[in-house]
Amino acid sequence: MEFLKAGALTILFLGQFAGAQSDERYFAPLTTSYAAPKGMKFCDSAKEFKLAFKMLRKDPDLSLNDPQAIQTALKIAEGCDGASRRFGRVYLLLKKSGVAQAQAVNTAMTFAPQSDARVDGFMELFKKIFLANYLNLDFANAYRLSLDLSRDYQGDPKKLRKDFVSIVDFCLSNKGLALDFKNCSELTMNLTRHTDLYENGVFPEFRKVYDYLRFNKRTGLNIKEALLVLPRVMAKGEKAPANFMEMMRYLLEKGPFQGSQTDALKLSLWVADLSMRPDPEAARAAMAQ
Amino acid sequence: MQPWRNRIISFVVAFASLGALAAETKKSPQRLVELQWGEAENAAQYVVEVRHFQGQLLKTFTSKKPLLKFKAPIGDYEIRAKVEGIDGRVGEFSEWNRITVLPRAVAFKDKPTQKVVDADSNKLTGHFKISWPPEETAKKYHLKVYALDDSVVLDVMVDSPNWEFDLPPGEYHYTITTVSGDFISDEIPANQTLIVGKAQLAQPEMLSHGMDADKIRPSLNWKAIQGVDYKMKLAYHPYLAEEFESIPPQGEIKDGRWSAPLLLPPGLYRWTLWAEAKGWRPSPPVIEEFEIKPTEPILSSVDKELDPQLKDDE
Repeated sequence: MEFLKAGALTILFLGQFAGAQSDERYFAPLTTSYAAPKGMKFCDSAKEFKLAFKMLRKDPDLSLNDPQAIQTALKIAEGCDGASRRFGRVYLLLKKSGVAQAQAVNTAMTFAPQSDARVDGFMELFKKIFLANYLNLDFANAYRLSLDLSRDYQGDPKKLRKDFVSIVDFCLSNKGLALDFKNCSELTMNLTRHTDLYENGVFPEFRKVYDYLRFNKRTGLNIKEALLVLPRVMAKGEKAPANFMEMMRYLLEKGPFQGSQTDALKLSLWVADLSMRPDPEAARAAMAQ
Repeated sequence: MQPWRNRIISFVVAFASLGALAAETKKSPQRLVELQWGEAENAAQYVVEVRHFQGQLLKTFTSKKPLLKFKAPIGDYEIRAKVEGIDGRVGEFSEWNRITVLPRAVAFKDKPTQKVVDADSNKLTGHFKISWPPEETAKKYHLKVYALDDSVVLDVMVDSPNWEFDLPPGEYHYTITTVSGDFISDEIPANQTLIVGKAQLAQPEMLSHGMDADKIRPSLNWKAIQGVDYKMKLAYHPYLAEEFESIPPQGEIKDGRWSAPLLLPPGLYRWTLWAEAKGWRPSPPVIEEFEIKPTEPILSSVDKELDPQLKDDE
């Protein structure tokens, strides 16, 4: 009986062993890599829910009862890790800016599932566009632009934020362009449309061309003249500024327009326009997909 | 025949009508005096003496009838008379009787009229320019204006038969008394009513509005009119909210100035300012909006305020 038992056990064991080579349950490798399915991620949902719930119940202006706070916290937690903080930052910023409670909560909720970079972008851009000591736009425009350039931006929000802040600061500064709010606003919007055409954003290249046009002994344009030229150059992407300046140097120093700044400018701009052209092969490849 | 010695002659004094006097007194302000007394039997004539009141004899008249007319300037007089009989006997003079010749009262037109003006909404009064028929016997005119409750609102002595003045809203009547030295006529009511229409107060005249030098506090400045109260309403509109909501009054209105208290929450505000005064319709309001933006330090404190709340300490 005991033999049988042992045998049975052996058979059971052997049977298990025999099948084990093809049974991953029993012979799973010691080091396992696991991942969420494609397009998904793992979240500390309990942590996010607790943080969100605590934050909502603690806010004296929200006046949410428990069921409401639970519902809202659940919604926030859907944003996965960091969602509570993202929600909280946007909510507090809007509340301190004088936005109505309900609207502040609703907008903040839309940021909960976004990236931290987009929230950083919104916070920074909103301040730069809305506050009286920066671009000082009216709330409606400031709000819409900030959302367009952060939460709803299709490109790299981090790069855009850096570009935006750099351009605004340079434009308003007495050591920079020292322009008024209206002109700085227009210039910033014009330039940041092209941020994604540059690896490091539009501002560094903008600054190079600006300094060349303003301070080079062969150019020496005033601010107004320089700003008439720059948007056209910057619109043509990464290589346009270099192409433009190379043409200008060539034409003014060695080329056919030595001393004739106006003609050199015109031709340099035309050549800079050619810095970004259609790519037939890429178009074909995109169509094939 | 009764003895005339003790006859007491009582006089009936009358003054001639304006029509009669006007013809006679073109050049000097005198009035026509009529005296009548009781007829004495067998009287041949009557002798009448006129003197200044307790003063010197001015004139002696004789009259065959118990009636005498004479011109006299404005003033106080005394008269006495005696009878001379047909048989030559002469009675004694009566006691001196005092008579006062007063300035003639102003003669207003018979037809009642109304003079209506609108009150000036800045001065809160209506302006009148009135005149009345001149009176030769007057050296001055005493004008009194009465409100409906008979209280005197204006009391002036003027040289000419006209005057200009301002009155608050309401209905009034006035009287004129002619004055000559110490002598005054009867107080005659004019046949004219003065009406100052109740108008609407003018909209407050704004002198300035905007942010104070510190760029934090909005303030308003307007031209304040004495006697007028200024009222204000404030409404608040958080950004993205649907509409303005009234909020309790903030700050103080004083001397045509209002300044918001510090630390009004950011957002849009609408102030409504209007004037009120008793007896007037409130003025049209002045309505304007202003915006208070947050400051950078406040917005930059968000993370510092939030992060302690986000510690998962459970």
